[in-house]
Amino acid sequence: MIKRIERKKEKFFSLNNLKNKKGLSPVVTTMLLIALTIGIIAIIFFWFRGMVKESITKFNENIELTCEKVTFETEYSSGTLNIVNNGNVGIISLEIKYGSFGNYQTKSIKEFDDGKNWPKNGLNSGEAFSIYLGDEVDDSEKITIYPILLGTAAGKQRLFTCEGDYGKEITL
Amino acid sequence: MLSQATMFNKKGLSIVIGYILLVSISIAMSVIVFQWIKNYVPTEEVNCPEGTSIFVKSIDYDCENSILNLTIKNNGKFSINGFYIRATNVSNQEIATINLASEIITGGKLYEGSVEFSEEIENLLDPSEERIISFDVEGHNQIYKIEIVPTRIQEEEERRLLVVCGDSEIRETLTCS
Repeated sequence: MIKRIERKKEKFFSLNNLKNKKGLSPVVTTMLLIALTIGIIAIIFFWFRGMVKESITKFNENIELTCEKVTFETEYSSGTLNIVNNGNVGIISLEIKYGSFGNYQTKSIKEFDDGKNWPKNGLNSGEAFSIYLGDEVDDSEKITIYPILLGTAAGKQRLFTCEGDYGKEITL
Repeated sequence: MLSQATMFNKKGLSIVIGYILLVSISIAMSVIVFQWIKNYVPTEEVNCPEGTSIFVKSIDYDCENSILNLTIKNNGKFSINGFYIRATNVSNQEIATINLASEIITGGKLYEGSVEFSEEIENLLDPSEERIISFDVEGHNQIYKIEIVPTRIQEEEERRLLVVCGDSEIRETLTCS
């Protein structure tokens, strides 16, 4: 009988001790919660940033919208490409895609003459340019000229090629 | 029993702090979304007003002395600042690529690769007004064609810009006088 009472007493006291243990203080818990949340957000942010394309801006808008405002005319004759910028957006460089029967190559305009003649600041509004592209291009079936614009991303200057519909196609 | 009672009375965060957190998180998220989305809203395109137009009233091309005289008239509704002038010395070339602005003798001044009618950066050639401009085109062989694109000075976002009126471009074929 006495033993039973003692056992009950022991059990009672041990439960009581457990109840008195608080684990972590509310302040520490809150701090941990905030730190964990910030940590998780940072991880998700860096993971997601790698998946999202870097946003380049020009004239306070996404550079893809500026591509629509680029106006230029092209003409190709006997290996010579003539181009004039009739719009109000400067073209820093050009990308030339040429070839035939599914075999195409893409080169920057500066690669044709090592950039000797291309204007240093690109083709500004109202300016024109003429370049001999050579026999390699002259043997092609089709030439497509894409304008390259200079924009900014994260405070740094970045080049952006206006691809797709923004290119001018010349069938030879 | 007392410890249990105190445990149940703990509310974690007060209602006021909860609201403050909710509002500040919403504001922060709105700012982030706004900054991201505002780049996708197109800005107004810099362009000359519709009705800007010039025409070449007369051309006098002296091939022997390589002098080109042009009478330019503003036949549009708006004043203009000047023009870009390009020429071609290849008879079958469609696009003129030789800039003649630097060859100007009288009637204007070279400004950023274009010809402007006055030293002041203003749109000085008013509607119906005309100017005679001369160019010394020696060193370019015979010129077959010229292209003229008017320009205007316009205020865009509190800045004065030289705007090219690409839609008002004119092309003229030259013959020796």
